[in-house]
Amino acid sequence: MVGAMAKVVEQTEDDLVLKARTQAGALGRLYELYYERIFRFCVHRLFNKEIAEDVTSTVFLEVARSIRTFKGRGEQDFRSWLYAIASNQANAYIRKTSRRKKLLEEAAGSITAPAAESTDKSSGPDWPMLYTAILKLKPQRQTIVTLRFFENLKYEQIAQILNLKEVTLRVTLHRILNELRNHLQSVNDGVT
Amino acid sequence: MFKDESEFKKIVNRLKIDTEPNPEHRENLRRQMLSVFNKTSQKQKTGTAMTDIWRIIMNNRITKLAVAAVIAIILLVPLSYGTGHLIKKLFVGSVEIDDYQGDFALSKDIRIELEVGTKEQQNIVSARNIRFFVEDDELRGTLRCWIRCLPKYKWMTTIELLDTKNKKLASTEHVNENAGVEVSYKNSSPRDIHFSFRRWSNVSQAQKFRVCFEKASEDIETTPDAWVDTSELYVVHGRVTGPGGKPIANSVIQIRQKGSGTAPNVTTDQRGFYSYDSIKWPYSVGAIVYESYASSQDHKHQYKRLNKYLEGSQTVNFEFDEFPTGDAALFGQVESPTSGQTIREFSVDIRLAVDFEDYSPEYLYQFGLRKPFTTEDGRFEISNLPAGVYDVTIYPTQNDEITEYIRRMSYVCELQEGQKIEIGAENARKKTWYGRVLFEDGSAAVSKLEGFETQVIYWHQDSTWGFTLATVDDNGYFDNGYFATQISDEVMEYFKSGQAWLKVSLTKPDIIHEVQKEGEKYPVELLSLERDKAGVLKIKRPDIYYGRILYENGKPAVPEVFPWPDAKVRVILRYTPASSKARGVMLHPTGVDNEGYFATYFTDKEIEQLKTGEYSIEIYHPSYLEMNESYPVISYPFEKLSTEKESVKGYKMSFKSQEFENLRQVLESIEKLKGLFAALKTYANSHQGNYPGTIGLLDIKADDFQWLAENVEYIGDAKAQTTSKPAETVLAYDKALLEKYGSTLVLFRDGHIEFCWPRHLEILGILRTDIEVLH
Repeated sequence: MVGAMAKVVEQTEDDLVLKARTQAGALGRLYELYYERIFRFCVHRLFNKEIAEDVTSTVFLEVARSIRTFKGRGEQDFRSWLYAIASNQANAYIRKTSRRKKLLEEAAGSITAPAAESTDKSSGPDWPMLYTAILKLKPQRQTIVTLRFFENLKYEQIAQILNLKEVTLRVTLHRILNELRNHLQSVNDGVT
Repeated sequence: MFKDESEFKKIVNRLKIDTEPNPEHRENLRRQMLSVFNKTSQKQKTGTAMTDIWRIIMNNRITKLAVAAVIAIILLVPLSYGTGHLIKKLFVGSVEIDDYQGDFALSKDIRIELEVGTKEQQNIVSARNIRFFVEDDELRGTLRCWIRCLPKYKWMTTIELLDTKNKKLASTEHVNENAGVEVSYKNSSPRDIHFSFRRWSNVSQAQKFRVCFEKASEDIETTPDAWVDTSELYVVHGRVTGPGGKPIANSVIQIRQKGSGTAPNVTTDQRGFYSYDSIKWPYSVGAIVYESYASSQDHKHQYKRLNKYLEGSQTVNFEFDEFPTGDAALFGQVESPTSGQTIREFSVDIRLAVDFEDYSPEYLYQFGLRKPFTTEDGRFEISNLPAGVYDVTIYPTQNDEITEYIRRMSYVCELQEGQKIEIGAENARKKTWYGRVLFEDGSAAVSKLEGFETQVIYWHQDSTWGFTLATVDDNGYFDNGYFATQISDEVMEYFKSGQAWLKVSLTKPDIIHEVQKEGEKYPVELLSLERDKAGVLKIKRPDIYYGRILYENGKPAVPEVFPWPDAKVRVILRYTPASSKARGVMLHPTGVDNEGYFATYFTDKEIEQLKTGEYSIEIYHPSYLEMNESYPVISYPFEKLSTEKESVKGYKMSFKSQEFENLRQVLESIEKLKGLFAALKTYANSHQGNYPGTIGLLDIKADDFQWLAENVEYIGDAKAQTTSKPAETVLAYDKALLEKYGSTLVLFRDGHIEFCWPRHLEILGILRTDIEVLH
């Protein structure tokens, strides 16, 4: 409504999502708001920045193609949809065994050998080590780890993204942590 | 390695992962994306989008003053996307009328060359071509321009149609008040300005057209309907003003783009305006204002920076006061730190010491000056400085073997009003002075409540804030209300002359004492160099405010079973309305006590703010859904507090709202499990200490039995192993909670109830494999 627009109104993201369906300007702004987040998500999932760029591209191109028919109602819906696309694309990438092997090699190559004299047990695993452990999980579980611990999403948000029940999510996450603990132990022991 | 989620989270937080995006990729993808988006739109019916826009534009009213074309690239913070594209008026500072005349033709791209603005203004608008066409029986057109519009410039665009005799037939300005030039964007650039000549379509007469940009009169107001969607042009702009709102020209604006470095500096114009486009976000903005600038070695400046990172287009204004002055002075003699030889030529750079990484104040502020000295003996003095802590750097400007390896010498000096401090010299000879503060009843003026202390605060008549010299101590070396502090002779003179004074105030530590100047004055005469001779100031004991929080059932709001160790119901003072983003100040650090009581002091200001409703007291309850999380449950009304503990009525917390469903369920379950255990005990007493095989055998009320049957899984004697550790053996647990949330309450054989998270449940064997898990 024109009258209402007269004063400078804090634009809510929900309006933005609605407008992005038909206006390039609004879509552009959504892109600016979410690009870094999605790119970061991809880096956490895929370890390699260039690959992350490629997957980020496929995500946003998919958004550009499908936003007109996007049925969601507001920012929360959009965010879930966006992450869902990103998870699917990342999983699809990783599913190819050859690619997974390549990523594992890359991560393994980056692991800095723990100094023999280092008594700093509290330092914990470094990123390449942790990534290697995470990569051993099933793709869907990798997504859960990334969304929960790297993207810091709440349970209900992750549940919406992955279309799961919250209780399932909580229990699964607990199991995932057990698995990771084991994987990390083996990585630590030099077993890949 | 890690026990649970929060420990794993800590591991993740410590990782160093490079997630810096590549700006080139970002830009390219953006273009690709928008291109794909546009292509998919073309597959839809072509006419729809455009006619919608036109229909909407037609329905906009433009006020009388605001007729004619306006091109605005002003950014409002942040911009609102309307259902139409509206116009805003802008004014050009000193631009002449620029126009272009050409031959009129329909349905044809007519090339025009029109540059508006001067070179130093960087050709604000370049109009490139124009096209007239008839649609819906109206004569319309599009003017295509490149606009490097700086918001400080405003102009009007008019498009006129002329006949052979150059007589004006129609003008977008005058045809009728609804006509006008409006802006809409199809692509990022260039800009198309669409216009129409409503109610005039006598095209045949038009021979020539004229496109005209002219300075709009200063007092044209922006039309309320007129603003522009400039989502694609990211602009930062604002104004720098000095005392009394006077604009400051030539102020240097610094824009730091996070991760992309500093953008080239921009300076404000004669009217104090600046603007910058093509900013990469996030970015922060700062302004430097020179009080004087003689050379790079000789200047005075003030600096302010908006202390947060911004995104998108924003308006950031800066207001400066007069360059600060005072009565302190800095002097010294400059010598080489290595050889001790005098350095005769140097410049002194003195700046207020500021923590640039402190993002807590809204604006970061610093002032400083740099002064060159050419001396015989290396001595200098800089006076008229306000009190404060300064970073002082001395740069030798002579070029010889004495200064060959000396780039600079740095010091930190604390200056106090009326003091002359010598650099490097022992910072004032201070003595220890003692004082004593008691309450009216003769007891030490110390807080009974944890988290508060009685501070002795130093104020100077020219200061905007005081700083804490000492605290009145009840334990340790100084007992019984004494305090001790270091004061130099110079400062004692200040006290004696009345320019500075001490105040005593009961407050929370780390608070910045502001102009409010709370507290009672401590008469300087009472200070003594000998502790036993310290004079006593008696102050009124401040009121302690008490409150009490209860659950709905009237019991104190203390969970009988805590979701995690150290969980507490907390009392927080914060801005209203409470939102998860606004952080508040904890009123009583220990939280609510076992009876549900809490107690606190308030400053006068806080009481005022509570009364007006600007602040509120929020009660936070620990969560049974996420470890270490608490949620605001209710506001505690200020009126319900009392200064007498006995007369406090408890305030009940209600968990009716859906978001507290989990909390309500857990609390109810605790009660029911307690009841269950009582009944089991009764049974055991008459059955040789054995528990029943099922709860059906218990003597309990029907609805309790109903609830238990639906919600509880009872392990009982039949399934229990013989146990020597009753405290670790499960007797029953709430299966409904487990089903719904993945964590639950567990009743152990010794009668205690614990809230268990998945890890614990698995160890206990409760987490069953038949709960659906993602594979």
